[in-house]
Amino acid sequence: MIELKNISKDFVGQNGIKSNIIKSISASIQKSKITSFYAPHGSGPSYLLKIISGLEIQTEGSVLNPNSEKIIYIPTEPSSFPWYNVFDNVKLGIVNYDLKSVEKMIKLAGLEGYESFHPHNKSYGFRFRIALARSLAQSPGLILMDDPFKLMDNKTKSEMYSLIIDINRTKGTTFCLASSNLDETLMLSDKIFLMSNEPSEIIYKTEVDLPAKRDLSIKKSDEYISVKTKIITEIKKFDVE
Amino acid sequence: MKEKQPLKNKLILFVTLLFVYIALFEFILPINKVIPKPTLFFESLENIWNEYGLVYALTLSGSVVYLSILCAYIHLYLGVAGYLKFLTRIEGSLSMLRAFIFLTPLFFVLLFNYWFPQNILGEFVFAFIVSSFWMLHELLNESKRVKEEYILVGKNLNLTPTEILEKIYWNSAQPELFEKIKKINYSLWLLILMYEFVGNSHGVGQVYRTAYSYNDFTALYALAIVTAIIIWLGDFMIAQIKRKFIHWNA
Repeated sequence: MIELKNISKDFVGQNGIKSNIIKSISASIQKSKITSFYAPHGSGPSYLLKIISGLEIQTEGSVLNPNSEKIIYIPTEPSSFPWYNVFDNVKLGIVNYDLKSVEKMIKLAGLEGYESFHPHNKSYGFRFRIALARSLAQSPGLILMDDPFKLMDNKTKSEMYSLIIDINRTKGTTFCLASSNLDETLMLSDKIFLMSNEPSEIIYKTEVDLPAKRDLSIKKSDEYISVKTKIITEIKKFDVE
Repeated sequence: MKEKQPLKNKLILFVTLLFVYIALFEFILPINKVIPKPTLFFESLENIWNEYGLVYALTLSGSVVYLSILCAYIHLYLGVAGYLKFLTRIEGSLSMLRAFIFLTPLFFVLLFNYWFPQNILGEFVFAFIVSSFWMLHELLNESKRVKEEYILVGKNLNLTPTEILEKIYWNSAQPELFEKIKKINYSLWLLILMYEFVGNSHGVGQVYRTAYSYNDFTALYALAIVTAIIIWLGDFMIAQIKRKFIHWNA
């Protein structure tokens, strides 16, 4: 489990004025679960993910990673390197890589047979699969996804949701998502943290008690509508617009 | 069908211009100091190869231009991390070098001719330094435009700073670097022609000088056409290499 304790992030602009992007965030990311930080607007969740991965340094607070697990960050776009083919993208950063293990991750991400293909001119879904395979090849304790479906069409989004849920349920990989789309947050998450406008702070959290296997038909279920309504009520209550 | 139309139009324009040229300068204005008589021009186009030794000259000048570009590219590929680290460190002082842009290229041509008179190796060193400088300048500019996401992913994958420069910065700069190489092809030919003309060293520039000293008006025209075709072929080859190997937009 990775724990966030009182994380705050300040920025000092060129005019010398200090602005607070993230304010006192405490949360826990449970192992083998999908946790989401959802905010309808603003860059709070994205900054938070960068802080968790160590790519940004927080002004206050700490990220507790007791087992020193590897944390992998997937940006929105570009998520893969266009000059490398699928295989080279996936093995990037692995010292003494094991061929079979890389091939296994490529297969897991649904890219078998595409090893020599380049991501350039391919769909966002294809590129995301590469980023996902690359992340899995690192044997991560946590995969952070920074609004990764934003540019995809609905059909691809739906395929990616299934892929992530499948990997999570079968391999027990822990995922953490930053998103500005409530439906995708609900489709994927086991736990949701609703964040306010800047300075971003957690204003509401909820467990998502939906069946483990989810597809688009779940949107019509009573449970789904109930959780969604609760979150929308909280958004209105805190005026998160 | 639509794609063939511009080609057809170009062909019609070319044939029309050729007809006008032949009609005007073969029959109406055969003696003038502007454009040579067509029969003389076509004769000269054939003669420059034997009488002026253009094959040998083109081999020398072409080798200097393209070998220097190739060597500059390889040397930058091998030293990209070191160069970018060094240049980023002294970036503040680099603005002082801007003063050099007011020096004309002729000055450097004369300087190298003074140091290495009629020396092919000196000419190559000159071309290599010029190509490396232009490519390095482009690389430095492109290094400021590398997408933040690439760098974040690189850092997140625990790539070392050197690996990030070699695997991300270098590759990210390739599309623009190849566009720059196309421009270098043209500019370097101009400099090398100038170099050989001024220093009377072996090469196409020397052929120009000889034709000029003989007042061979038609040969100058024929040389200009041949040189233009060679530069265009170089440009075409670089574009093909880019198309084949640099297929991405960073």
